[in-house]
Amino acid sequence: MEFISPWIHTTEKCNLKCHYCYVRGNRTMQPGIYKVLGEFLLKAPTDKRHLRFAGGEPLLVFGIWESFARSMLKHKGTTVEVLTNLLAVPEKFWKFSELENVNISISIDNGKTVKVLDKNITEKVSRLKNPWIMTTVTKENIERLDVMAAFIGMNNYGWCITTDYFEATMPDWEDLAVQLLDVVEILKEFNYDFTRISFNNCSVKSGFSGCRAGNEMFSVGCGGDIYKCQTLIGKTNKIGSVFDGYKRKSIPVKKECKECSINGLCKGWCPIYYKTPNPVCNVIKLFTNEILKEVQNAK
Amino acid sequence: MPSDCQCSTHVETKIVKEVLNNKEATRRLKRLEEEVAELKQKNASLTRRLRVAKVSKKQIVDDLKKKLSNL
Repeated sequence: MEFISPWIHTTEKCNLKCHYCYVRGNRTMQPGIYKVLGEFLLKAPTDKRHLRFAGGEPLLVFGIWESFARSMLKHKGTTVEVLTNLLAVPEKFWKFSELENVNISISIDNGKTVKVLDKNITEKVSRLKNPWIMTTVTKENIERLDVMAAFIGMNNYGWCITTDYFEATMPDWEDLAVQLLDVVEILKEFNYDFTRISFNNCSVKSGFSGCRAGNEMFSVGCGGDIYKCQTLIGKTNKIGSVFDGYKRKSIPVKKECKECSINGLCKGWCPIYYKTPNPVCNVIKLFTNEILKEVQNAK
Repeated sequence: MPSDCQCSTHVETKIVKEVLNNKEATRRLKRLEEEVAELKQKNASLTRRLRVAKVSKKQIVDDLKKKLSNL
């Protein structure tokens, strides 16, 4: 096992209502579950543990999981990532974010109504060391990606761009292609490091795992049940629990992906919901073609 | 391990290194270029729009910088 990376569903509560969000409910993971989860992770046959604290909005319950995260960080090979909208930040979190092996990923869409790029958020992001920005592209914000690109370029932030898993808010593929290539052109103006960008899990950075849902990557619900993916939490198809463990399953690579020219760079986007052939593959190829040129020119 | 994305983790994988370094990579990247060229050829409106997107972004970027500094 190369690594283990649980998505820890700290809470179902959130201070936003994003139109594409799949999380429902009001539960919060309790300290007893963290204790068992910690024991489970330390027993796993790997020395690389990447813990993803997410939700809902994990900072709403930071006080509940902070001590667990700190105790796990004492074990060699453990890294922590917090996936947050950074809207309500407890004062103690800033100190936590400075710890070695802690990274913060912030959702900013620059949509008209949700996850807006404003002074409040940019000031908070600037307080973090090496933050990573996550943007979900939808019909609502696609025309505003250029502003995001300038923001990313000015700061050389890492940037993970995705479409929503269920394709419910998916822009037309051609519009998406034009906007993404526009983004690349804007980033070029800032001499951006293109190894720091990904689109739907396609990246030219060495070591980008892609999604391994149900295998090294899995999701732990508030009650300790284990699911392949965070989008499945609360549904009937759990694959285990922190009490009993889970059986890893390799995800078969899709036929189209095996034969694809960018297999290896592109990780096939979402192994659960993304169906191939898919016109979004055109967008991924156009995007990859552009950023590969930039990375090779920069060598 | 740096942060990457909610659905990915930074690990060493042989595949990426192979894609970028060996002969097979060169062949596949050539194929990618050909596929992209074919895609553009088949989609005239896309090609037209991409050409517009390729126009220098200097002025746009200057405007965006101003916009962002006024946040």
